[in-house]
Amino acid sequence: MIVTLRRVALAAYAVFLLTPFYWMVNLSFQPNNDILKSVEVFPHGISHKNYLTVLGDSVWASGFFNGLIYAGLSTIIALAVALPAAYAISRRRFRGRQVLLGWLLANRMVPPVVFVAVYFEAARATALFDSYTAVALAHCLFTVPLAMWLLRRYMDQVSRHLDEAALLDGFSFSSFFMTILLPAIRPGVTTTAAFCFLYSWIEFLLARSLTASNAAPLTTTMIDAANSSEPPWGTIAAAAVLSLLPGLVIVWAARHHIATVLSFGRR
Amino acid sequence: MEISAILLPLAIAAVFRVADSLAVYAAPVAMFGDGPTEAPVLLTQHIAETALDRFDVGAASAVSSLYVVAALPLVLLAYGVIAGCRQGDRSCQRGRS
Repeated sequence: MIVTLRRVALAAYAVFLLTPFYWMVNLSFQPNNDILKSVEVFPHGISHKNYLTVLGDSVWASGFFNGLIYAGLSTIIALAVALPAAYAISRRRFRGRQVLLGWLLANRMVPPVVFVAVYFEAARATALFDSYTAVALAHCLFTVPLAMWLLRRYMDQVSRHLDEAALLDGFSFSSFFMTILLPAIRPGVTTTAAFCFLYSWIEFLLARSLTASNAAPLTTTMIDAANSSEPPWGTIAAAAVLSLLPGLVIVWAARHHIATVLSFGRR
Repeated sequence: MEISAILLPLAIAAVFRVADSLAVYAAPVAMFGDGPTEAPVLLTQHIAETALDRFDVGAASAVSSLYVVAALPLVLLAYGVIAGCRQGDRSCQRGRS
């Protein structure tokens, strides 16, 4: 009885969560006229036209690739900064270490919108406005803290004796770091990279406000299309479906480690 | 057995949820554009609009600073829950691995 109830409740919740996704896919296969004419639970015939528009039109396609570019750049910067920093925090006990950790966490807990004015001014002052660099650097606001917290946890799980043994065996510090420590925490580094990418990919506000046209993300294109006088709902839905793909790939690849990431490396 | 073994993950989840809900911006913008009556719905929208549409970066920064101050207790709470409980608390240690 209880098991049945639990299944029913879970199934109801799953339906509740998946309905918007289904509706998105449903809309994405309908021509705009059908969408405006009546509400259809199933599309009348599958039309690929919306997908062809998204992939073929330069504005839509560049939005998609722009998002991928900043997410990739931001991930690379975050890992380059956070790997050495996480090593220092994991291995050394220096003054202000706890404060530094708290500060990093604060960057994650404070809404990103409070930094919009600052980043906007900085991007304009340095002529980086509407460039990939501006958005990638702005996204480091949350990717660097996330990467540092996660990598530090993964490094904590590697025994400190490994460091000492390697140094005694004549490894230089850099070759120890690259050839021993990094391979030892490789699943952690991969997961961290995946999640930095994902957080940057779904970020909307900074990406939208630091770009105008050249580097505008897909979300900006979608919102502008939705606010236009004749919104192409089918095309917007197709873009939304396509924008799910990187997330699906990454969540699938990192499925065993998601719980660690969402609690900031605490298990 | 140990209450904190259940409460701690819940506390972490709650703290992160509250942080995420303070940061909500995209949903109302997607639903209403600039607002149902051309007025912002959330403080996040107000900040973005002041800085980006009216270019009043000073005013936007002032509101941003107040928002940070308002979020500070949450930061301290999160820090206490995530980092502070490692020291000395055996139930935390158990929950950790």
